[in-house]
Amino acid sequence: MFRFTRFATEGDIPAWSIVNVAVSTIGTVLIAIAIGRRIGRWKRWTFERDDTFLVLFVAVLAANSAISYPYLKEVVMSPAGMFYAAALFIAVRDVLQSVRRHPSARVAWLAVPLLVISTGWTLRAATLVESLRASAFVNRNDWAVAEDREDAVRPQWRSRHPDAERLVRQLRREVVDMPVPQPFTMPRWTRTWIDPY
Amino acid sequence: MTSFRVAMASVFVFPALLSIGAACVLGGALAGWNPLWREPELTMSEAAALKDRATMQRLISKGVDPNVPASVRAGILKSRDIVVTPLEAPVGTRTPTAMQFLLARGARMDDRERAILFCLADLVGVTVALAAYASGYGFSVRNTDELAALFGDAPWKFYVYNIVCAALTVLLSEPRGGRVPVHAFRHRG
Repeated sequence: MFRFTRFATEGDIPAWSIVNVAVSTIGTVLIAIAIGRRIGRWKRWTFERDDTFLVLFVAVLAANSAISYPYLKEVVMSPAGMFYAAALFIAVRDVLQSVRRHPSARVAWLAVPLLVISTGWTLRAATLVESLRASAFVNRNDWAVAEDREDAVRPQWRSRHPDAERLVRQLRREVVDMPVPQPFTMPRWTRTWIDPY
Repeated sequence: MTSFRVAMASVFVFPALLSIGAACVLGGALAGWNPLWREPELTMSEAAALKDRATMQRLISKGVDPNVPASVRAGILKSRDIVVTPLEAPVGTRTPTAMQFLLARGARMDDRERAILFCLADLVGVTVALAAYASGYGFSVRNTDELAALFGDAPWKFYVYNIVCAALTVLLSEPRGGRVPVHAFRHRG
């Protein structure tokens, strides 16, 4: 779903959505500029080491998108996301090198988008902790009903192996005894900054 | 040269601060200090209200009776501390899965308890939970019938939409949550 657009039409855009879209858009523009500067050379089939990352990013993005044709799921796009980070590294380094080659007050304004994406991605990385906490809570809860679920999905699972029941119970006990933070303990003010998806 | 330093600082300051913070947390974890990974002590009723089945399972394993009323701290069900049974607590937060979990593990629903639960359910407006798989399209999640009505004669349009949106997910962080399990509650009133 286009959540940012929906939030905008409803007149209430949470901070996390603004951060996500802003940093991704700036990052994508920088990558597009980096590719645009090299495309003439690529047409002559001349590639340098940095070019490989950009070409790989475009290829993985295309392949990843293609296999997503039946339905959308962000996790399917994870490989493309990894290459996006590599491509963004090349693009940001291009910007820094151009600032170094042509130092001037006007060029210094390039620091603004760099600061925005640097701050935004730092925030997204920091809030990843909450995603880990939420996933741990969900997984531990799933293990609490592991036997019930197996009974519903595979009624014969207990008789398939003499140790099946013992193994599931041991795994369940280990997971259930593991300390996991309760989502309730997160302060309410953090919710506007943490991407819940 | 100053402009280059400003640009470098704008790129590295916040990631460097995050790295320092991460190093402190990792170092603290080695020394047994886990500021981001603390589990609060919950009562059976609190765990039921918060859909924390693992804590309920652990408490039951320790011999805690799932029928005994327990306190629920302020902020979970009410703005003040209250005492309710574990079966009553999930009604307040509309979590029938917690109720099912408790009933399967020895919680009893006698006539008195049933009357209280129905009364509470009526007050908060819970009727039924539904679960289905659907797919995000545009600005909302569409169920299978809606998607069939939209793309039944030309499913390739839906496939192309998904391919383009998958790429946008990486490039612009939008759209999100393409295919999600929808666990929705119907509310009354």
